[in-house]
Amino acid sequence: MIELKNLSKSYAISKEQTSEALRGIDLKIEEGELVILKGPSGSGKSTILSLIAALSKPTSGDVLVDGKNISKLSDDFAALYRGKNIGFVFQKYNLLANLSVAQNITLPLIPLNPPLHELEAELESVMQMFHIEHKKDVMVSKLSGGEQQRVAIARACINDPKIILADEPTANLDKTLSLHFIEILKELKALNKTIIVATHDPLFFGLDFVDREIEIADGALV
Amino acid sequence: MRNRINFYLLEYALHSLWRQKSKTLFIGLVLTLLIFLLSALFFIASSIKHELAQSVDALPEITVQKLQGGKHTNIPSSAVDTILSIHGVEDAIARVWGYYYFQKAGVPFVLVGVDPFEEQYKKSLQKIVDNYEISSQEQMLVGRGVYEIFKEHHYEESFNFIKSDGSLYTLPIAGVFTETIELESNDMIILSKQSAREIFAMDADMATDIVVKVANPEEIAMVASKIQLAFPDARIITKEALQISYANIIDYKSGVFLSLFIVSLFTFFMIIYDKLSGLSTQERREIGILKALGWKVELILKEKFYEAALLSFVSYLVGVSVALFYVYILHAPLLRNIFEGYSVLRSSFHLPFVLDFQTLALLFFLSIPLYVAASIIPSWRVATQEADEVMR
Amino acid sequence: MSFFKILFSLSLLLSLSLFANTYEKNAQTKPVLTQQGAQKEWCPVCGMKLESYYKTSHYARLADGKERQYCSIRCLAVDMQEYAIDLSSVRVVDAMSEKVLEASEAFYVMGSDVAGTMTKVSKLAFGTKEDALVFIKEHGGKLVRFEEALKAAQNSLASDVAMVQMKKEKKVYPMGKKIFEKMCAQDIDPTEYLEINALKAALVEKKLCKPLAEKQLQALSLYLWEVKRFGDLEALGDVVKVVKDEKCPVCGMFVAKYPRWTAQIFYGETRFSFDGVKDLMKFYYEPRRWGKYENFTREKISKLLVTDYYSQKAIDGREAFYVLGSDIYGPMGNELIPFASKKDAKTFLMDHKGAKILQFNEIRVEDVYKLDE
Repeated sequence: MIELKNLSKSYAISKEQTSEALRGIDLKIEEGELVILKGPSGSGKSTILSLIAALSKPTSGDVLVDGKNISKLSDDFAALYRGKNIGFVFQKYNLLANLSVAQNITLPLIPLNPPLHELEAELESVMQMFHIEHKKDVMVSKLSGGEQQRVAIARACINDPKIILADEPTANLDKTLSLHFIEILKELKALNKTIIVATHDPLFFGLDFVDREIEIADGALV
Repeated sequence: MRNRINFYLLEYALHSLWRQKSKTLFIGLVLTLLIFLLSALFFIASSIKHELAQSVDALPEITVQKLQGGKHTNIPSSAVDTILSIHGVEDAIARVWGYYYFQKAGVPFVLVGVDPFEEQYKKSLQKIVDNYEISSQEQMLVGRGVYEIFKEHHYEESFNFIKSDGSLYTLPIAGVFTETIELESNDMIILSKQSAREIFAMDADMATDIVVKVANPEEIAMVASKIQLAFPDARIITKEALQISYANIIDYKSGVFLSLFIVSLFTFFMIIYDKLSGLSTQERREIGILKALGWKVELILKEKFYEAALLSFVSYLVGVSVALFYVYILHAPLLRNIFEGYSVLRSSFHLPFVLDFQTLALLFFLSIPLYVAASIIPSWRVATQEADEVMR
Repeated sequence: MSFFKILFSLSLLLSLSLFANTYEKNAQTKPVLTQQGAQKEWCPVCGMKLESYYKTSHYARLADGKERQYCSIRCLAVDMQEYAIDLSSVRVVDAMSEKVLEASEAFYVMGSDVAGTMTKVSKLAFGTKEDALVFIKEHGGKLVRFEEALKAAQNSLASDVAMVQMKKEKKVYPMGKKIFEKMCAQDIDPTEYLEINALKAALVEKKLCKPLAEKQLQALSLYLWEVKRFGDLEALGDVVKVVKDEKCPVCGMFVAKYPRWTAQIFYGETRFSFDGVKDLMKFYYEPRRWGKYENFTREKISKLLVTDYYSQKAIDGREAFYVLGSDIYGPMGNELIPFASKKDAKTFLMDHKGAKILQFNEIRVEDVYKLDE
């Protein structure tokens, strides 16, 4: 249901020079697939995630999600699309430090303006799923790394997205927490979500519940 | 899309203000101070204008002065007879009044001579004459401000006027009146026309000027022209002309007022400039994250709008309230000195409470929309970039 | 301080020199007063103090031998209307020497720049022709004899009276009334006295009032003599009263918005208010045309009020005078503008280019509608 067609993205470093992050990628990912995108840093993994999330636009080529070309969406529609379909776990989590756990998690819901009881129900369920309900009103800056991670994931899941994208989720975690994350992955897969994890952490390689491992180097698929 | 107000957004805005406590407080304080200053000045000015307008309104329709060499000089009282014979003239009164400079205190008094059996030219004057007995005996009534000055200089029961030939003329104080508006009671003394003439060395058959009452406003012009014909060397002043000139007296000409105004505007624009010169990295990052989480540009701006509107509106309310209290209950200490030009007496500044909605609206539109716009614009710039770029 | 002193003394000097130009009519020597009793100080016709107008004072003897002294030739002329006076007995004060001489021998200067006493044109008497001519050189005027001066005074009586009357009504009577109420015994009966100067003498001698200056005494006396003797000052008229939502039945406008033009017809208890006499007249002629007003016939009219243009007070519309075709417009455009007296209407007509003056019963319905053209 996600299709990348001849996708290219280049960034301008200076007036004359550009760097090509992606070169003509063709890729198809089915619904419910758990895909590991592996490659060294700078290989273009993050760029692919960013493009699928419509956080940036490709230089050329298309991104189709459920048949819809999301690479051509206007800013507003891109935001709408994201809000409905995407749950993103950033590498640096990108939590708002001075907000509480609950406040951070519910951020994606604010544009949708649901009735209060609905919002609270969603919040509760997602906090419980990721075991941080006991820290509901604590400021995230006061949480441990692992707890922050769980908040980030909870936030990514609260709007019940079809697609979950994770960019180097274990880069700043120790082995225990990394393994814990993999457990969460399992649960998410069980929910039949389409999941793409970009990582170079070997812990993710050769897992039995992973559907596919795609390798990428220098902006192209290997 | 839902049409309900997004309370989550409002809550977020409030919380955002709270998160940046020190910044919010600082800007809030500055805004409040500015609005306070501006509104206090506006309130004082409009109250004074109102007082002046009232005093002019009480004046009769036409004032006739004799000119000599382009300057005002005394007019023979017999002119009253001629004027009375003009159709449409309800009454003509020869006024005897003038300024007496009390050197020791450095203030001028207005001496108003009255004939207790005459119909007075102003209602407030009539009230005073009716309430107090100014007999043909030589006495005077003084306004409250005058009385305070007298007391300061140890004149409790009477006062010695210095006549033009240097001799003294003593008048006992028969009472203190409060029937006129504040402006007038500050420096006015009421006495018999005789006494006034005595002090000003005026002949018995002369008057300072003549005021004319015309019943039908449509006839004023015609009456004025007839008077001018009868007295070619006279200056005819209509009430309309007076109203215009009185309004101009208090029209923000005082230099100090102007400079205060400029300073406050300057400070205000400094804040705006600061806002416009861009957001901090953190603020940018926050906007990027929100975008990534599905917030439309419109929503982000709406939130910023709430923040700015809340802050500036609260500052406005507080500023205006404190100004009201300051001007009408504390009687504007310090600031009132700016307006002393119109009445050179240091006195109680009991201004009438005049709630001018135009002023309030002016202040509102001067402060709030500007600040809100200044807050939104930089956010708009950031929010329209690609979220991805921002978060890097 | 010294600078101010100089300035003040200079202005004093200046005013003193100006003094020389104002001609003083009061007695510089001891005045000769020929009347009997305490009232000899005042003129029996107008009540003014003879000493103050000594230089225009005239003397006459009545048929019964009684001596009369007047402030001016004008008052002599007035007295002649009531009493038979032997003109050969008339004497006058020489304006220069202040000696008393026969009027028939005097040389009068008429119309000089000196203000007249109780009249517009002054008439001053001199003992010799030379004195009179010297006076004319300085003050202008023409040389006449007693006969001509007297005739002129008699001819101008009507306008002289009118000139003063306005002032009296507007100022003197109200002032006199105030003085009376504040300063005098309330049981003074002016009918007890024959002349105004007798009244004045009594007021002073019997101390019927608190001490008054001459000017106040004069105002009081005029009030008592000319007004109270016959009744009292008419209570000052009021304005035509309307309530906020009264509408004109002809044009539908709110009458309260135009207080200067309000006119009303009272049919017993019911009243209709209009925003101008024109609309009132339209209704007056054809009430039916403006609604179910058949019952309001002219016979049923109990009162008709209009607003006098000059005084803005309510006056009887059926006694008023109306000016048409002037340059003053009411809220309905061209109007019939009401005046309490014909004189007022005439003045207005001249000032404001009016076309004609009509009394109430002269107004025809065509006149009214013509105004709308």
